[in-house]
Amino acid sequence: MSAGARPKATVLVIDDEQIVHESVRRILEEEGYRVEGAFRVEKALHLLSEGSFDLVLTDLMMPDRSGMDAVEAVARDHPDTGVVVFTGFATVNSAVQSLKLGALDYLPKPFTPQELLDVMERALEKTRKARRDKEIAKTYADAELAIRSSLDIQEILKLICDSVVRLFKAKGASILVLRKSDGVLEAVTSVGLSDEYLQKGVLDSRKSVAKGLVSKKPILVEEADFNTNLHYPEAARKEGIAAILSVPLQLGDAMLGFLRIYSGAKCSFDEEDMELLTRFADQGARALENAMSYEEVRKNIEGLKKAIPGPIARKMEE
Amino acid sequence: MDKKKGKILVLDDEQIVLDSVSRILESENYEVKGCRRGEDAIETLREGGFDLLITDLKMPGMNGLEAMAALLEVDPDLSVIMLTAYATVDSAVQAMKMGAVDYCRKPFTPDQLTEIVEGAMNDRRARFEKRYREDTFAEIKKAISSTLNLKEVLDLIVQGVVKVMKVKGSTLSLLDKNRAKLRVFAHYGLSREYVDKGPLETSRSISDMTLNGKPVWIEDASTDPRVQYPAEAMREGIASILSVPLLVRNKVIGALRVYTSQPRIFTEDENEFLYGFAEQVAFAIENARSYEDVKDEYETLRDDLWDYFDKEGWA
Repeated sequence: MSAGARPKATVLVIDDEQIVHESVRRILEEEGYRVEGAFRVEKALHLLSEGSFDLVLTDLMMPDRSGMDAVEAVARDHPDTGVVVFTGFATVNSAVQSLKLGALDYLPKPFTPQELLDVMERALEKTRKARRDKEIAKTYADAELAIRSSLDIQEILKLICDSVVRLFKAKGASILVLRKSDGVLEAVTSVGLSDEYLQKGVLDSRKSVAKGLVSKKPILVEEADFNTNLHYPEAARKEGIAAILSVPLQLGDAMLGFLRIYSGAKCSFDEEDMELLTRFADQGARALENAMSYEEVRKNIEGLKKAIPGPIARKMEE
Repeated sequence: MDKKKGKILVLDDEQIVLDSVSRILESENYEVKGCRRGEDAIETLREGGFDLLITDLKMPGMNGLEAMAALLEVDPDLSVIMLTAYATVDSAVQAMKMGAVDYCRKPFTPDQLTEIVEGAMNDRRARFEKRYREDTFAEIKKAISSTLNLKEVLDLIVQGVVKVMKVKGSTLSLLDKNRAKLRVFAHYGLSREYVDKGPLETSRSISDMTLNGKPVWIEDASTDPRVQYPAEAMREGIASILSVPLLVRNKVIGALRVYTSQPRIFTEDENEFLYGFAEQVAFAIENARSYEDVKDEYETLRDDLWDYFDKEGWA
């Protein structure tokens, strides 16, 4: 591995034999992994509690404790780390037990460098996927709670935009509210977009997102379709936008507007993302509805106060 | 015979194995369907309602791993146990990675088979209960966030928690203005008599802990000294009580309690669920209260104005 380059992943190898450490280290380091080693399970558990590893590769038969203890400890205490077993005494029982306890794979020794690399690659992929899913679930839960706990319309709008940008690592987001009188979509909040782009011109809902208004489903417009599907394709390109996803915001059957997510890279919203977004938009719309009810009563109070002639108001306060 | 413990699909090319597995499991009160070919198993699985697949590995035509993949395609929730006389490390790892819950050697004793099946059924139950909780929680959250009516919000919470946690009853108490007493604002599954037994003093009992932001777990309500009204609890048929604080921005606003009719220890999953639930609903209560406050303010102002006009004879 060239000095200073970012390692592909960090691996902790647990084995009681020096020669195994050497060969595994050579194979993995050549592929860009950073490798640390431990000769005892006890030592490995200590290293695990101090540092952060992407993967653990453990032998089973070792003098102090069984590698199975390491498998169990990693699965229980380090859920963000993946664990793979490799052993010179492969048995059906230990294979089944390892996988039941949470090992991602089980590799009998001896193995070829390519076999080891394949196993590590697949394990790394699974670990990263699990980590990302967890991160999304957490960000989503936090965002949802924050949105639901506010009764301030502006704050909710801002929170929705900030949250989707964070959730999807997007370039920006905006909320467009549908003006009933003339069908124009008005941007009421945005993050990550330039003023120039926001003020590009009037958005007529009958053209730009007409499909979404009817189907009430998210619409994805990618760069290749900008010319046919966007009002201002050049402005979007200049802004560095590669794809725009519009998710309808609705209350019951009434259409409130759209939540838009702007992606800088060629886009990849999969089905799960779409579902998450739809759910999020739904929660956001409910929070907005509550905030609007609250605001309305507040306005009524203000209205009443204004309607009361000055002298009467002063007398009433006495 | 009473309700079956579960429905099991057995796939093995040998009739004698199908017969013996069926006999063992049927005597344990499971419903068993046997198939000798993978293709038939797929057909049978489409009947629906299966919990478990027990499959052989080596079979002519579709082998056990192929059959497992095809059957999981039809029902991704199916729990799979592989049984084989030709156990290899390779096939064991493959089966487990594909999602089998167990992989065992033939031959086996009836007791061994029963134990494996029970283990798989227990895991399955736990997994489904967790999913049920999550789904129901999502529904309740949706309902709660769709209203600003305080009474409605509180009722949805206590009903929801009873439904999700499968307990006898639940109460929701809120602190009064000077934060001295917890008063029950909503309850479900408990008699009015029990609910009205008296105020809970915060200086005493469970409330003290709850108000410090800590959960309280009482396994036996009839003997635990922290229970303020043990006789009433016994009469009501309450065995255990779990009380969690309702917190908004780290400030306690009240407590959510669940009551069980059997002494019961909640699993970590269940505890976690209840804390999460309390956290989420506390905000809905706060919002509904803010809304009621502002509405009260509006109505008071309107009435004052009305009174004023009345007095002056302008009405």
